[in-house]
Amino acid sequence: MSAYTEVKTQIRDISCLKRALMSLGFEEHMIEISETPMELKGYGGDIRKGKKACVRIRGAGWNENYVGGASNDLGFERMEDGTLAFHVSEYDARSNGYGTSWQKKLIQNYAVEIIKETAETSGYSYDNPYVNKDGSIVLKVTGY
Amino acid sequence: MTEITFIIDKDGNVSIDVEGIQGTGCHDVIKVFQEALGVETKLNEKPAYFYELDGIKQTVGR
Repeated sequence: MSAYTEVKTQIRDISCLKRALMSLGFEEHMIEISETPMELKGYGGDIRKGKKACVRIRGAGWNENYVGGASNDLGFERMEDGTLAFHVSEYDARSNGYGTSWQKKLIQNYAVEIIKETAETSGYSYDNPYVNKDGSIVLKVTGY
Repeated sequence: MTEITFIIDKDGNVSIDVEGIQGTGCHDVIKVFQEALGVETKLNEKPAYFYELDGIKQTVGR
């Protein structure tokens, strides 16, 4: 036995975020990524002032709507500390299912993607993750 | 063989348990994953941490 630590996950990596979003049902073409921050639209097509994102999922303000009924865009904005902040309207959090429960699931799945990617680049292998009864996810990584 | 067990709770907090590495090598392993994931909130060395690789018992500070 060697060491044990606890880490609070912070969303920073766009490629892992994209895979986490896909694990929650979004298809790849629904997830827009841009180095230049993109404007976010409301359900009526209006530009949401002060809201920009480097990862965007289009809502009802566009011809294609990937978020849900009468929805606003979902977006992730790069902050100064490098983390990605999630922009979601109160309506979409409450009525379209993107509230706390969904956000927690996103962070959980994002952590899985980060661990997998880090394991691969470090030369480790990993088993398929499994879900405990309490909703926690277990992922075992092995190597030499 | 090194075995690392990650448990991700429903809030996205991750516990990382490293086994199979003696001495300070476990810190290097943890650091790689911790930096990729986020912010470390707690670190505990377990008994094997306190053994140098050549078998001489020695307390190693953080």
